[in-house]
Amino acid sequence: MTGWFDLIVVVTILSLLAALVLGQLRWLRVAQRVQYLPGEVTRIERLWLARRPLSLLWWALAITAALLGYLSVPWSVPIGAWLVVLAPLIASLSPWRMPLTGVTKPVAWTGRLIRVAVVSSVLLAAIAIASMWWLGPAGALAPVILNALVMDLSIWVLWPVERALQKPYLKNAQDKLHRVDPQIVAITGSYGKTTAKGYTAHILGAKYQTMASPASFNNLMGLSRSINDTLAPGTEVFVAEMGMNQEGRIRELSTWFPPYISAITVVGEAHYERLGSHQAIFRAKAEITENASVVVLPVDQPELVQLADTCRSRGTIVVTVSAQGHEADVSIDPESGTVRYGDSDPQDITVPILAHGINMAVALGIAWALDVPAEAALKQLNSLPVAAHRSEVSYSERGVAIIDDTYNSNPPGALRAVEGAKALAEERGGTFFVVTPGMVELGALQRKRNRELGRLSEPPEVSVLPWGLPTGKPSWRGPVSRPRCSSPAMTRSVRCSRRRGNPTLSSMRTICPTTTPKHPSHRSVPGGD
Amino acid sequence: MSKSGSWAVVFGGPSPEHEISILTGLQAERVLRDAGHSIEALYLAPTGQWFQVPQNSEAKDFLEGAPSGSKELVLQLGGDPGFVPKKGLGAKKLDIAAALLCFHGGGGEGGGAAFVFESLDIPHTGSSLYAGAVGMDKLAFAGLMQASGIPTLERVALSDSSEPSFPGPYIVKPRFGGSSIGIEVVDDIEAARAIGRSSPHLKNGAVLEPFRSGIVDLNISFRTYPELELTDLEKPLRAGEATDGVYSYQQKYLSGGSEGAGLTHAPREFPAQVPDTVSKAAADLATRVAEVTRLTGIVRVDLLWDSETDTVYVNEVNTIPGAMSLYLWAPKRAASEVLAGAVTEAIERRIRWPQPGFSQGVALRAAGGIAGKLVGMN
Repeated sequence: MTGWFDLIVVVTILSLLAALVLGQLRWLRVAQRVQYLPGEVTRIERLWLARRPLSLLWWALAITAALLGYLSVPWSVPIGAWLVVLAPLIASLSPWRMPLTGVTKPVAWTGRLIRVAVVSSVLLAAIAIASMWWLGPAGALAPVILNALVMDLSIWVLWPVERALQKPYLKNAQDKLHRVDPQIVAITGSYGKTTAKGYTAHILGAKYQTMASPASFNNLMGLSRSINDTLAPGTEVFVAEMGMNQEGRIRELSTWFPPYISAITVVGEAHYERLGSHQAIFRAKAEITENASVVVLPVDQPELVQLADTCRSRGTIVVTVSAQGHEADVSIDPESGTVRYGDSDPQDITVPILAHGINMAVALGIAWALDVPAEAALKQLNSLPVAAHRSEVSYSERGVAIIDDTYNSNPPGALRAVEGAKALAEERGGTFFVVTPGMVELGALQRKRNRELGRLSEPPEVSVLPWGLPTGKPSWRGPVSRPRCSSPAMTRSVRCSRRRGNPTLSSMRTICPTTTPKHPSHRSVPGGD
Repeated sequence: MSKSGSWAVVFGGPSPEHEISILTGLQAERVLRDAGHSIEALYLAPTGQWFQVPQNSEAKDFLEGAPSGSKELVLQLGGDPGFVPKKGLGAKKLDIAAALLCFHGGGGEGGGAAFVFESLDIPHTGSSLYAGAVGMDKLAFAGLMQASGIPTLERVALSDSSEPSFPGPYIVKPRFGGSSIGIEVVDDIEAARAIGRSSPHLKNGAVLEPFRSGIVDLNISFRTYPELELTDLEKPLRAGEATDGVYSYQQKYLSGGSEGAGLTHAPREFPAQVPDTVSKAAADLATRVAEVTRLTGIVRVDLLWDSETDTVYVNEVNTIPGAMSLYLWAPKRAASEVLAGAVTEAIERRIRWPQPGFSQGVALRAAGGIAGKLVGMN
């Protein structure tokens, strides 16, 4: 071989390095975003390839360039051979237009991310050496195309290592739980669990020193961290939110932190895409009942009624609740606006029931199970807390009511949020804007649910300003309006949504501009979860 | 004991008034630092962890625990006591000359922190373990007042077995605790008992007082350095919905509008528009409280004035008052003078208790064998 060939090898290696640096930055960020779940990085890649077919074209072009270059060498056509140098760079254009840095959340260089970076880089280097050994410079393309797969592989390889590293934190959290010895109340549900957790802690506060796991710290490390950092001595009840994105997760959580009382709010459609079926979601949620002494279940869903029977046959005490006035230990009747708490007579409640009904019912059910007297428990209903970014109402200096519902991630919640905001806009007599990308991660149901949301947002009552997700177009299916006014508050609100909203969830903000603010501070509205 | 060293402003602590203590602490930190003192801010989290927090932290920095940039400390008792940074090679003990205790409620105000700092051999404000404990026990304090002939409203322990000596309606208060948290007004003893069983604030003991609707709250502060000195009288106003007739935690600490929440901005009439006789009686009562409790530093005495009978009663005492009562001192003394005075008092007039050396081993020598002491016990 001659000198020009060596030069091609050197330049190819340089272009490979550049392509891999870009690829690693991109896929490491994704790995962090999907919480290092094995298989998720390639799933996201497939999603992009499907949404942006141009990505496949770049790959095809890169393969063609590499192939031509590969064939040119034996024929000694230097010009053709140089094509090989371009192949890795062309391939790195795929997935087309996927941002390198986070749009909503910058990448955090945690120890775990660095470990994934090191392992995946080593694997990529091994693949590069092997394929270039075999195919020559054309082989440089292989690691670039396989980058996402290698990322998944690294996460999978590191899985046992990460578990071992987490052990001391888990152990600490367990020790601390033993020391402080609170009753553990665990809440899960497809949606509403953060709100229900807040309500539960608030109502139990009437009788017990209560602490709730902060924010949405609902996985193994999140819960351990909240126990290690915030569980104070003297806490009598610890209310933990348990989340899952796979079957087995909640079982694991309730093995580490065995609940005395566990509750399910709703079995719905969140994570439908990942889990595949309603049955799978139900099974995953039902795991929370396996280890508990007392189970609080709404009887408004047939599968939960069945679960209640299963629990009873296992010898678990079951407390039933209802937000639709059904026969239950705690029953809220939205028709008459009353609540029945245990054996007490139905009592009027003044807070809006519709939107928060099931969360209220579950929280009251837990309070009843823990012997909070009726009077004390129902009194607490008048001062329920509002979860951040969940139908949180604020007012701009120009009097625009801004309803932040960006953390709302479920179809019924979104419908209620729009209904509630519509009512507020009517009350204030202003125009009502919905700013949303539509809902995602709903799999086969996505189109249908977005269309339902769209139907509720028809003009002239509502103006909708959809904005695109990083993956491209909004998933919104419904009417679209051009902004009729360009108030700075609105522009800022849209910018804020982009910055703060979690694009894997449905991000929604509703704006009702009028001239004077009626309520100067935060207020909860009916709607949202 | 090192005379150099910084002064520590200490706040937080496990108590329902944790957040108010943070506000008092941050306020005191600024006042003393602006006056040219070298200050360390030490924060006790509800979890029991101690932190050295960055200078001039803001209240909101504590929303999720210790502010970022805080260093965790280990409290080391024993032969070489002090605060030692938990991390860092060759970390040296903090050089603290004295501590201004800004705890509200709980063991922090109730003498516990005083004992901890005594064990650390650090001069501290906040009186002694004993004085603090009496100030925090509403029943014991009322007993002390009665025994000293100081006028006070009737106060009895909430009991399941005995009836109160006076008729309802009653105010039910947590027996231990420094603030208005957990206070309820009830019509009869049964309601009081029910609430006593369910409220987390009353479970560890509650006291009953007669509820008198026409009675007026009056506050006064005293300090004991350089000599006993009193402020004018303050009449806190019950802003907003004073439906239950009790000056609530909400009204006391969370109102204040645009100037920010906290005791400093709570609505008040100051100086209180009351007859001279009332002012005189109040000053006299505060002086007697100072004497009989042996409380030192900056203290607030809460009084009740019944205008119909023209009697002033002592209600309770705050051994470490919210915002260190600086708003009451403002017309008379600069905030820095009051706080620095309290710390200087802690250093110069340190409370010393008789030590084991006092008995010179007389008892040990006379004791003989322990076996001899067990004779006749089994």
